Amino acid sequence: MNRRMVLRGAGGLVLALPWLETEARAQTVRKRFVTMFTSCGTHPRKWFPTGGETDFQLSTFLAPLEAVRQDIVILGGINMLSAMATQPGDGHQRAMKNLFTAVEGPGRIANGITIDQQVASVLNPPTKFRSIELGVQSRYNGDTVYERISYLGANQPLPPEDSPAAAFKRLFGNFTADPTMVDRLAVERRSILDFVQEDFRRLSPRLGGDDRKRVDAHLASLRAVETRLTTTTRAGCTAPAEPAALDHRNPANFPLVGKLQMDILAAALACDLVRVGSLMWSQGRSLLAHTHLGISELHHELSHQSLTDAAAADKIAKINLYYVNQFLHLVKALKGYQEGGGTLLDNTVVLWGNELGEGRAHSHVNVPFVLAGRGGGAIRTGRYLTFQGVGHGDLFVSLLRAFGSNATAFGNPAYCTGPLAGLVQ
Amino acid sequence: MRGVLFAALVAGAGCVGAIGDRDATPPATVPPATSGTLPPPSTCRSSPGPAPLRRLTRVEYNNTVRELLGDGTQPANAFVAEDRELGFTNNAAALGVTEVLEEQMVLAAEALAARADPVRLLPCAPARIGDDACARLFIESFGRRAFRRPLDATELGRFAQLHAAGRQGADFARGVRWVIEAMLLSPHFLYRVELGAALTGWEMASRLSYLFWGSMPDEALLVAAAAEQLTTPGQVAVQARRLLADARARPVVARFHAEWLGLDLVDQIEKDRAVYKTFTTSLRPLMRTETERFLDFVVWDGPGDLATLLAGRFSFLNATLASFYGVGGPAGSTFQRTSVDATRRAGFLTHAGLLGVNAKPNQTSPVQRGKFVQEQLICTDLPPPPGNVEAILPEPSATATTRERFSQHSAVPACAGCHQLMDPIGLGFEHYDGVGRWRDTENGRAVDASGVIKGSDVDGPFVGAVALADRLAGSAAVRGCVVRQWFRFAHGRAETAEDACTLAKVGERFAAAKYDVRELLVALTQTDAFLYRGAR
Repeated sequence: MNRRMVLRGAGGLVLALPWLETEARAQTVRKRFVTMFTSCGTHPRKWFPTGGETDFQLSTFLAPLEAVRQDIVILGGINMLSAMATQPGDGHQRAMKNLFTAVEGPGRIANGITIDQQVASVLNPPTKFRSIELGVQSRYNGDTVYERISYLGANQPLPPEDSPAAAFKRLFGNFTADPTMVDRLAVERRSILDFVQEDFRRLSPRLGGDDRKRVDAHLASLRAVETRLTTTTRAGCTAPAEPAALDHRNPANFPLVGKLQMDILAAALACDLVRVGSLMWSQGRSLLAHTHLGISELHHELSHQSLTDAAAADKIAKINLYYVNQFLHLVKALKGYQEGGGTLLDNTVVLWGNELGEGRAHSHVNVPFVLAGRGGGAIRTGRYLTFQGVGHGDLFVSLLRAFGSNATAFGNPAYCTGPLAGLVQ
Repeated sequence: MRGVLFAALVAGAGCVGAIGDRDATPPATVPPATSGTLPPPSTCRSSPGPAPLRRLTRVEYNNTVRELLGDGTQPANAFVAEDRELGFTNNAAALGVTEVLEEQMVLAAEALAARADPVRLLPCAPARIGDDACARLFIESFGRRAFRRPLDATELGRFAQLHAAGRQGADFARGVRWVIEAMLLSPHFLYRVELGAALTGWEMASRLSYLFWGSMPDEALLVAAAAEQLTTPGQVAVQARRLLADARARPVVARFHAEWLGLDLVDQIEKDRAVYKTFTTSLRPLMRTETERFLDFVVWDGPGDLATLLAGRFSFLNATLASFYGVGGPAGSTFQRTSVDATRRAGFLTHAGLLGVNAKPNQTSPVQRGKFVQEQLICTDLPPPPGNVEAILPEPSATATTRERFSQHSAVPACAGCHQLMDPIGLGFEHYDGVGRWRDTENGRAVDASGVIKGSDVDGPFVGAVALADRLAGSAAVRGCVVRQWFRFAHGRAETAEDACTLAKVGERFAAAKYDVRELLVALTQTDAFLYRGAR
């Protein structure tokens, strides 16, 4: 029988083996953070609940979340203030620059670090990967601004991996390798990659400003990769099943690819290979036809027709419901891993965001954010919290606090008033 | 309300039924004319412009390792795809290296080094001349090709040490593998490193080979570099013509066309099958082949001129595609040159692939078709819609024509500023439905394909896309725009004010060659930007 991923330790505390024993002994909760993105806004009247903070009634679109209502927080009345500032880009593009950065920018792509990467900096975890970016047919034609939701900083987009097979190989690839071979390879890699780093260090001072920055960023990536590829510690957990070969770009496979990516992400978090992840469904201004739902029009086109056309509204409802069910799947996947006295979800915060509020109007107000998970007890769930048009930077400040930071602002501080009232304990 | 689109909603004005952004920018006015027309040479000041450090793209990486190691496995296909800037995948500023990509490059280098054939690469036998001596000869010869220049003494010493470390406890071959792997990961391999204000012959050799072949210099170029025979414009032109005459130049020109015109999107065309009953996904590769074969033929086997690209009255069809178009054509699956109805089809603008890409799943799109002409062919820099508009696409109608449904754009001042540049051109394509088939009527009414060009040197009314193509074929703005597009592709960056002389000079030579694209390519090597390198 395979060794299970977690073993129950003294006092009921669940230990992950082998490298976190010290940390576990100190009773530190391993907190995780996931951002999830879907596109083209929603129909607010069919999205937001009615009723109060805890006795809320779920709406048509969010109805499937009844099954996990005690694990989620639905947020209303949050505006993407920075996206409304004057800056280049249409409604979708400005939103994509601002959604997870909360800062406007003069260029085509985002002008700051995204919240997932900021959380990774705060956590600075001893995991094999600093963060993992996954996508479900996120690539359309390589137009960066629409196809990225994670940035290390201004103009430093992190590309999502759209292939479940490649994601699996990257995360779990060496789980089946012979340990002796892995060790020998690590020695070789260290010799060669150290040598190459020296090449970079010799070249860098001979280059001018922007070129030097680019080469130095490359060197930083090389260093991180060297550490990862020469770490021979095997994860004390079982890898998920390797995904069968499939054409991950074929729209017909969209739901299957999505499910595989979510399961890989959950397993990687459970194995503590990584503590920060993002999942991007299609692109900003999604040009995907959800043929798997029997819809042949592009999501983006439908989003602009749907209030005037009952048939289009039905299709938009189908797409919204589909994504709500995917969020539900992710939440359940995280809930399926036991950890400590509870589940992996208890130690995780999932933030689901969309680049628009009401999709038809390119609205940046009342953006449909939903959270799941308690972040190791920092967030009290089972609530519908409404605000009066506060900036989404405030939400990110709250989340940073949930992860142990004492941040007072995130993104452009001009739009921040501090953490959201009552979200984080 | 069905007829309304892009209705301007001034935030705060209490418009009913929609939430507008509060960042209401003022109604758009006509954008500044930045069309392709090139500046006259007399007004420019000589300057090479910026020369950013360029990383090999995936295609260039694949080509280079095939040349260097004889490895045709195309390992870079597994790398993160490039971001596009100005439509092109080789923009230096967008070719950063993230951890994911670095990891992919490390794994590729390991696999390439493991597969490398020592017999092919070793210039000596270690058993005959000794390990150290043979290692040194190998590092010299392989390094000169991998770094596309001779290694300096320090580098030779360092790689000799690496080889020695690699063979320790193993064999000579492992040392070779380590050296190959380290070189494939070195910035001197992955980037086209240019140091100093004056270009060296080696740097020029790489500029030429990557421009024309998307690959490393061949032995003739390296020999010319060593002999300092890549110094004068004439010497550079001789090499440019040699490289251009080689078959390896063809895929590079094809890649330029694919990126310039967005042909990758043909692979992703999706249509509402209830509206376009004859469309199937198996048509996508055929549509793409038609355009690729046409462009390829004109440049390499045909007259080579821009006017034929834009307005040539022939195409390449096979039986399936001809029957999709509803025209006569060759029998069988092989594509053949086919003449077309000269009143209905001209050049690539009327190909089903591009017409299908620049359309909606269930209807045509005068906006997209006009935008394509303005941005790709006239190089007009169109701003995005202002923040205060509500974009509502008019739904297809059983009675109204597309022209009627899109009339709102010209009626609403906030939209008209920009849309007067797009829609009136796009409406000239109304004889082609959303998948590019000819139609005489829409909803039982005769198609009106009259259009108007604005923002160019050939402004004015026209009727139909064939007339538009003929008009564009004689336009200075289009010719200048093609020069600009090639410049961006050739230099991996946007043109700047400093490039005025370079653009003017290419434009002059292009004109002198009667707009022969092959001569434009040679002309690109005869400019300040190509021959020189600015001080940092």
